[in-house]
Formats: sequence, structure tokens, C-alpha cells
Amino acid sequence: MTDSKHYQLKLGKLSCASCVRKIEQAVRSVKGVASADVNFANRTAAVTMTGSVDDVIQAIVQAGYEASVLDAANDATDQDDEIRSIRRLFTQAAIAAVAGIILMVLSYLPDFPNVTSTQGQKIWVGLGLGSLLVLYISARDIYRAAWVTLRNRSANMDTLIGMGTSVAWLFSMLVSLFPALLPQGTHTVYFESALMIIAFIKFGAALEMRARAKTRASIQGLINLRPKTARLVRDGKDEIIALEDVELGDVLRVRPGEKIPVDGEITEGYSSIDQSMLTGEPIPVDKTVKDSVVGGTLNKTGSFLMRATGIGSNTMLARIIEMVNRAQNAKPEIARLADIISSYFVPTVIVMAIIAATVWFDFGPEPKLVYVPMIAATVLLIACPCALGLASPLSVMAGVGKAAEYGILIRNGDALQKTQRLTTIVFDKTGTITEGKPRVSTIYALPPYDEGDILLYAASMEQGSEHSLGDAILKAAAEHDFELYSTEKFAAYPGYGISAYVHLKNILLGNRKLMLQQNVDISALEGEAERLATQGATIVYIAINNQAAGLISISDVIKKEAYQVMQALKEMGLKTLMLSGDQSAAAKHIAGLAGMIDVIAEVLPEQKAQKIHALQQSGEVVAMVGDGINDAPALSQADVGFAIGGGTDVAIESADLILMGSSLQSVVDAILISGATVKNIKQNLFGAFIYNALGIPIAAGVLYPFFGVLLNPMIAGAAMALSSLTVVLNANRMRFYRTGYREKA
Amino acid sequence: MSYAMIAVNVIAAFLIVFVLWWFFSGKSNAVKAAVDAPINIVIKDGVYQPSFIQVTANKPIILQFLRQDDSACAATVVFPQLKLSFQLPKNRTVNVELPPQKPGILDFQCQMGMYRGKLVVE
Repeated sequence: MTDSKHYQLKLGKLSCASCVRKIEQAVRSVKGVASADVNFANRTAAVTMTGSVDDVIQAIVQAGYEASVLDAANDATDQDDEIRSIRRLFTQAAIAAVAGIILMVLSYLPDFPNVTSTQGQKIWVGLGLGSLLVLYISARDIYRAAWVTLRNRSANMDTLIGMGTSVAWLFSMLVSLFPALLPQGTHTVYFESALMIIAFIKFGAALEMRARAKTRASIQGLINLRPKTARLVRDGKDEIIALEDVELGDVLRVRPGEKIPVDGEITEGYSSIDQSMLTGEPIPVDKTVKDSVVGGTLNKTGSFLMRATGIGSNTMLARIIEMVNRAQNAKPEIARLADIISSYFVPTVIVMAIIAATVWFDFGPEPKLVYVPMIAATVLLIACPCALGLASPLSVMAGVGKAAEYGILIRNGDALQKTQRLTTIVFDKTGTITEGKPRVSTIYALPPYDEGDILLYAASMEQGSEHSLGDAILKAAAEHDFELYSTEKFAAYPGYGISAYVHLKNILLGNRKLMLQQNVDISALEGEAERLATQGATIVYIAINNQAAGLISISDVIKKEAYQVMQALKEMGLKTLMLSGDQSAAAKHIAGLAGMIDVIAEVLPEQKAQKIHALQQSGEVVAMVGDGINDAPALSQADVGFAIGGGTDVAIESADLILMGSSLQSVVDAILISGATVKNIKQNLFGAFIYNALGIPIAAGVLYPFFGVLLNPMIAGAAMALSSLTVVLNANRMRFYRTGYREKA
Repeated sequence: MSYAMIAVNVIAAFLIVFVLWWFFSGKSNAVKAAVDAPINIVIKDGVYQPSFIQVTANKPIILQFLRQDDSACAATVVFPQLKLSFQLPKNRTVNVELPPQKPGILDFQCQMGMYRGKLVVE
């Protein structure tokens, strides 16, 4: 028995619940269907079957509904399809090559009759008809496409090949049928050339398809991360179910060494999780209850239970695959010229072939009747719009895939090229340069309050806060097991702080600017604040009933790779700059540690984009690296926006590149990979231009008057096949590219 | 100059004009898409059929692609002006939904731009 496959179909025109049964009946009547379940609510059908899903779709359409395959879950079918196509191309090439070689050998046999003899004429007409049969077997798709495209007033590679080989074959047949019509010395036949051209082109296409499949290897790697099954915990028992059957809220068990099936949150247990496949960072991350886990990552040590929070196309992995898929087809600016050229290419080549043939007729040597059709055929065959068209998409595909291996998602093609023109990189401070996990380092209280009061009031104010500073205060309070007060009349001043009534007291919590704005006298705190700030701490002031009451200093640790990364960027000739909402002293301290060139401190969130704009006005090409929601406007304002640490959804939407890991090294990797990709595109475009610019005139015979050099149409066909293969192989080199900066295991 | 030579040159000139006219005159044979109904586009033998489609402005555009062509280029359809692209697995109907568009012309093409089509938004 053959393996049955599972398909998820999207249904259309499903107006009533009774349609469900009709569709199920229609589907079940198809041979090979094992089960069919129609879900009316989301208008899908799950079908398990052997054989072709197209039959099922047809059955549904005949029943009066619409159906299409919903997800790309059956990548295996696509791969099988591709392997079959490659095999078919190789077979077609082999058949044409064998036939071509036999004809070639025959024509070189000294005793083999020539078309001028009666007997020879019959033999050659027969061989010509035989070669027609072989052409039909090996290349009928090319001729059909050539015909259809011509009729539709469009033209492509097949048009040129079809026309070129047809000219060669028709001329040869004419010679064989009516040798007497042609003068002495013109009795050359080119049947074997037509066959060999087809052999070369089919062989090249097979190699090309194989190489292209490899270019996609990185994406395939991402798709393969998806496990096939999940372990559902129901009524205390484990049950293995297909990944497609996992529903939101399901509790799943993940054992050591298993891949996490979908996105979710740990509800019981803890483990160390290897996320390198998504983030490019090799060190496993410890996770415990309430931590989120990502589908496709690897559970290393512990066993845990998780609740599914993201399934199907809503998982991070699915979104990444989608994003990479889209970006792989994006075109950087540089490729658009090639696009314009390729749209005029084929008709232009046909015109050139006509001109070349006419010039040979007017001025060429005898026997003209042989030269004219052969020149036309050679010009048609050597021209290769494919190389031009392939040049950028393949490199982009390889480059975007390579970046994904490093945990870098490139969202658009233009970003690849813009990255190469950058002059300044602006980094957000918290969470970008620093770990973003600030801790309370000092609490300072003015009488009558003590440290405990200050922390308690501050923590009460910050309840439910998602700000990283608030988080630090809450954590510190949690360590003391404080019971927090409730707040009233809460108000937030973005970039300044917050105010509320706690225990009938009016509390202000925020930075220096907030205190000055509210006319709080903080002179008693200034000395301590200054001392702590120079150590890089962020100071949060607290005022109770408009009287300065104390301060809390919060410090964040700088990322360990920060210094090294800034040095590497400097070596690339880039200016590094830090943008921070913090007090100038704290920001300067951090920037100093990271070895950054300049700091813009005390910037309000809404000013970040303005600062970027100001830099752009002064002629800089600016990249912005940030992670938070408040970085989003700056990320879109920048010429290239990098969202780091996976980023929040808003940041991802506004960024051009997404760094899945939190390591700053990804910034360097991203710039290097973009550079390598753009270089690869340029090499390919240059190669393709030069090939056509030299090949077409040589085929037209410009070298003949000087050197007597003329190409055989067969050589032209081989050169064409080789040229597009070269482009593919060059793009493929990207697969082996290493940034050399941080090597992945 | 012999008569044969004149004849050949005249024929060649005629052929060139014909080739240019044939490919670039852009004769309109647009298929009109009904509002809200998806329009089927089959990719076969190197062309989009139909390749010239009239659609209504300011309404979502639903195109239903079915690729029956082996060529790798055809495996992706790209809308360059919209910076959108979609994978088209062979022999599977893929619904492509485009956001409402202002009147104008939108190109669509295969990955390498060998197959081309136009949407005329009116």
C-alpha cells in the first residue's frame, strides 16, 4: 500500500450546513480517499488519501463548490514533483544527445552517402524525419511554448530556442529534399545541431533546477524544523496527534530531545531550550513556568507541559517562513534595470537575427544560402535572457536564506542594497546596547521615609507596568514580599514618569524632568543622584505630596559583545551613535563602555524619529537598531531599520531587517551578508550583460571579416546553456558564505 | 543591386517592422473581471492565460492562479509595483488577494520576468 497523505482544503461557495454532506459525499466518491471531514465553521476540508488531490478538487468543483489546497504542509509532494521534473529533463537531454551523436558520427564516416546522391538523399530525408521524432520526444514542450508565446505576443527563452532550432531543421530538410535547387557546396545538413542544442539546453535546465533547489535549502531547513506530531495531554494521558490537529489552549507535553510543536507558554516544569535555529545564538536559554516557547525550537534537558498559544500559520516559525519566502522574491533596486532590459530582450534579439542574416546576404561570402539561415539560428540561440533574469532573484534567494541561517530576517530587497551605503548606525540603549534587564541597585531615602517606604510606594505605582524600569522595581519589591497598595487617579507622562494617589498621598515617580516640571525641589537628592548616574545608573525620583522623598537607582548590564561589535563597525567605516531617554551621565557611561562614538541622551520617545531625520538632513545614511514599540517611528524613519531580539510586533512591522537573536553581532552579520549578496548580484548581472553583449555580435559574425571566426549554432546553444548555469552556480556559492565574524556551529 | 537582393532586403525590413509591431503594439484583448468574483489565470506553455485583465478600481482584486507549467520561473508570481510575490505550486489553485487599487496599470510577471501580464485597474 502506498503512503496516504493528508490535505487541508479551503472551500468556497459553502452557503449552508447541508453543503457539508454533499461535499463529503463528493470527496469520498473519489478513488483513494480514506477519510474526508468538512468543517463548516472555517470552511475547510481535511482529506486523507492516496493519489492526486486534484481529483478531489475536481470532484468538489463538479459538485458546485470551490476548493483549493490550503497549506503547504505537503512539501514532500512538491519535492517529488521537482525530482520527477529533473529526471525528465535529464532523460530528454540524453535521448537528444544520443541521437545527435549518432548523426554526427554518421556524417563524418568517409563512405557515408551525401545528400547529392539519390540514395543519400533518401537516407538523409529519413534521418531528418527521425530527428524530428526525437525533437518531438525531447522538446515538444519548448516548441509548444514557443508557438503559444508568439501567438500571445509575448516571448521568452523557449521562443528563441524553438525558432533557432526550427530554422536549422527546416533548412536541412530543404537541402535533403531538393538538393538540386541549391548550388554546389551548400549541401550541409544541421539535423545533429538541432538535436545537440536541445540536449545542451535540457541538460542545462536539469542542472539549473537542481541548483535552484539547493538555493532554497535554507528555507527548506526552516520548514523542516516543524515537527510532524505533538503529544497532547488529555485526561491525564498522553496522546500523540498530528501537528495540524493541535488546537489553541491544548496542553502539550514536551520531553527532552523533542522539538517544541507549536508556540505556547510553559504551564509546568522547566527546561533549557536551544533556539539557535531561529536566533542563530548557540547558547540554550533556560525557561520555566509562564515563559513563552517557540514552535520548532529544541527542548534540551527537562520535560515540561505547555499550553498552545499559536498554531498553524500563526506561529512564529510560520511567520518567519512566510516573511523569508516573500523577501526571497523581492528585488533590490539594482535588479530593476535588468528587468526593463529583459522585457525588450527577445523581440530585440529576433530583430538582430533578421538584420544579421540580411547583412550576410548583402555582403557575405558564398555560399550565402548556407550562411544566412545559420547566422540567424546562431544569433537566436546564443542570446540568453535567462541569465539576465536569473541574476538577481537567485542571489537574493540565496542571500535571504543565508541570513535566515544567522537568525536575520530580511524583509525587503531594497534593504540589502541600502545597507551598503550606510554611514551611521544609531542604537537604542535599553535592550539593545544593554541586556534590557535592569535591576534596582541603590535605594536612597530622605527622612521621614526609609528605603522600604520608597520601594513600596514605587512598586505600588508600577503595578502592571510593562516598562523595563517598572519591572525592575516590581522585582525588587517581590524579593521583600511587600504587599502593594492600590492606586487612584493614575496618570502617565511618556518620557517623564507617572503620577497617582497611593494611600491618599499624591506620588510622583519619574525622572529629573518630571520633578522640575512639577516644581519639586530635588536639591537634597542631587548629590547622590549625580554620583550614581556617573556609574551608568538610571535614576528614578520619587516625590510624596510634592516633596522630594527619595530615589531609586536602576542599572542595566551592557551586552558583553557590545564593545567588540562597535569596534567591528568602526573598522567598516561606520559611525556608531547611541540614542537614549536616560540622563546624559548614565547614557554617556554606557556608551563609553561600549566604545561608541557619540550619544544623544534625554531623548523623548517621539523625538527619536526626529533625531534620525536630523542626521539624514546632515547627509548621513542612517540605520537604527532598536527593539521596543517606542522605537517603531525611528525604525521606519531610518534608511534601514533593524528590530533586535525578535522585537515587538510593532517594531517588526516598521523594520527592514529583523534580528531574531538579541546579540548585537547580528548587526555586523547582517551588513556582511547584505554586502555579499549585493556583490553576488552585481557579478551575476555583469556576467549576464557581458555574455550577451559579446555573444550576440560574435554569433552575428562580426569577427568573421577579421579572423574568419564563425560560431556553429551548436556551440551557441551550448554557450547559452552554460551561461545560465554559471549564474545559478555563482548564486549557489552564497550557500557556503560565512561572515567569518561569528561562526555558527 | 540585383532584384533578388532588393527583394530580400525589403522582406527583411518588413519582417523587422512586423516583429516590432507584433510584440510592442499591445493590442488590447483584456478579459474583464466581475466585481468580487475571482478571475482564473492559468499558467501554461510560457504565458499567463489571460494575461491582460481589466479589474475594478477601489475594490479588492482576487486572482486565482493555476500553474500547469514546469518552468521554475513560473513558480512565483511577482507584482513589482506592489512589492508582493506569491509562490505557485504546480497544479494547485492559489488565491491571490490584492488590496484595492487606484486606476492605473499593474504588472504581474514570473520571477525572472519572462512571463508577463497586466491588470488594468479602471
